[in-house]
Amino acid sequence: MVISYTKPKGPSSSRASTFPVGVSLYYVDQMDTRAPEAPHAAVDQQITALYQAHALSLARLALLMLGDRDAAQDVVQDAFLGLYRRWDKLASADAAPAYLRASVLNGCRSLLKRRSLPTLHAAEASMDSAEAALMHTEQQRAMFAAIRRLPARQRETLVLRYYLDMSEDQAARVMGVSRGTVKAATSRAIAAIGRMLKEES
Amino acid sequence: MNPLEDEIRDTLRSKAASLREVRPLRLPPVAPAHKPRAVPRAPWARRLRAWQGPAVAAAIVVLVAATLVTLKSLRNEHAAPVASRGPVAGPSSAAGPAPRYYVGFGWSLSAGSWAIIVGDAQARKTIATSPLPKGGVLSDGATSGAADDRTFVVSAVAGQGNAVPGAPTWYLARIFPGSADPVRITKLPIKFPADEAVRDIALSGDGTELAVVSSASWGADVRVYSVATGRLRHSWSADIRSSVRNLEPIADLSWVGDSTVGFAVTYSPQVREEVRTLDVGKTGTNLLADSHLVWSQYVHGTPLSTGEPHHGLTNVSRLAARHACDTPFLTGNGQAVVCGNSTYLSDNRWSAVWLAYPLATPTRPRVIGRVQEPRDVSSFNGPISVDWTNPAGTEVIGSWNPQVQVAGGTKVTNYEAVIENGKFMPFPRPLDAAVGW
Repeated sequence: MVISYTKPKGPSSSRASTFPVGVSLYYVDQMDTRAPEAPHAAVDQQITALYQAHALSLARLALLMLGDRDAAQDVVQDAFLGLYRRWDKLASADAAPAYLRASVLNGCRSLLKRRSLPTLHAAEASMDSAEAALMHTEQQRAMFAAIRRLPARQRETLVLRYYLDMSEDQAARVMGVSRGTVKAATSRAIAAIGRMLKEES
Repeated sequence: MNPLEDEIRDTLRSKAASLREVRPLRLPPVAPAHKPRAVPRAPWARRLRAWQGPAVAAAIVVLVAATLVTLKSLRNEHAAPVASRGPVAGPSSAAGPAPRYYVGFGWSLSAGSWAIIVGDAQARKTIATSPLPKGGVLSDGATSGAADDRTFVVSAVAGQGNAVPGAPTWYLARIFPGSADPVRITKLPIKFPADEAVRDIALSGDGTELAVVSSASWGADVRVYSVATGRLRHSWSADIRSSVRNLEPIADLSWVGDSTVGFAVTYSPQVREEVRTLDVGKTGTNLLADSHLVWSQYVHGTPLSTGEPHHGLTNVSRLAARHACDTPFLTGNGQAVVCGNSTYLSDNRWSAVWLAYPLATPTRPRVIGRVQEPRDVSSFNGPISVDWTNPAGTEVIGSWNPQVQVAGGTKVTNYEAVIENGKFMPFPRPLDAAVGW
């Protein structure tokens, strides 16, 4: 839309003289900014506030799980949409962050199960080249490549334990497995990474 | 913790930190009605179950009655389109997918200059103002939004005093609802010739490309720029220097998908309007030769020499132009042309009407909505506009500016409304200024 303008005649009136294309001008400082809130607007605001507060950290979590920025953001969007649809079933608004994290992790697991191997490898290749500059060291790049080659459960264990700093008990609860399983998966993951890095060097 | 674990931790954190931004949240148009329910249903609720059937039936009867009353009150035939009408629900809440946010220009008293304004139509408030350089006189401005309803491109031509306006400055406005910094406006590195004028812009649905119509003494261009880099990707020219639209022989840009741009062409003196599509993924430089005609109409009239407002087709005899589109706009699905039109009803009064012409059956337009002033309208001060339409062309945001004779001269009233299914839902009070959606 293109508009032609002239300056308003004076500040005393809230409406300027007619403009060439027939639009009127309102002094923005005099606008009535009071807004009667509809009931759903409050939910919108709460969801939006949650998004502002948690979306980036959740997207980072999903990125570590999936290795793909777009997919990570899709999973996060889906999680928030899911929360939006189930908002009235949520026990309390305080439960929303935990619900969202669980939802993102579930979304990542589902996506990893659905993904075919060739697709995953293609995504890896393009991502590595695009983000190489952002990785601090060559060693970190090799490390992340190794992490991404781990089985999904082992990778999730590492993300929960070393990125989210969860204890073995906490990680076990989030993953729905026993503490021993977390411990074993972590141990195997670290050993596998050590092997992969050694082979590469 | 062994060194390998430290390294894993550092790597994961470094990798996570490389993601610095998430795209805006897009919520569905219909919101859930309830907040979280923390309290389980009380035991007495069980006793009320016996009454649920009758209560639901009664509620349905009340709901149907209320709906009928509401529909009757919304009927636009012979209704006064009073934009300041009471606490009417916001258009977006009533119309579902209509965009919520808009960007335009207004005069900021506190800054003493023109400002880019960003508003929330649903909440009916301005959420941010960003003053243009102080002392600048805004001579032209254009705005266009992406499909996410959060990303807008703005062009503004501002000069000092009476200085001849130069090239426009381009801005990217992004909205982050609910954040401490809800609107971020940054300059875009688009280089635009100073001797040309921006006539229309359209941001692609994904917000990555910007189509621009420019005009100069030699004709008109359609250009496509990358929003991220400001680089000119393609340019097409047309040698159309004069038309009944004077400065706007090419106008009404829209995107169909990510690779096709629709635009309207008006030829004169034999007034013919066309809507054409251009595949911006293909090479070429000739706008008319490289584009495809999808819709056209003749306006059988004689341009007036003086008198009538000079915008759009208002130069053409009004009686002759009663079936003409003021702003033919190709819908996002590429299946229809939507336009506003002034028409003369049987009781000799002007009304504004919005029509959709399906490309498959262009002679059978569908009425999206019609509105008539109760007062005797002498003319419309400007086009009956389509400022936004949904991809199917069933819903529009339109504006119209009826002019009536009053003691001592004429009075123009400016309206903007969501129009859908024969209904119009005016914004409860006029928006800040002319805005883009």
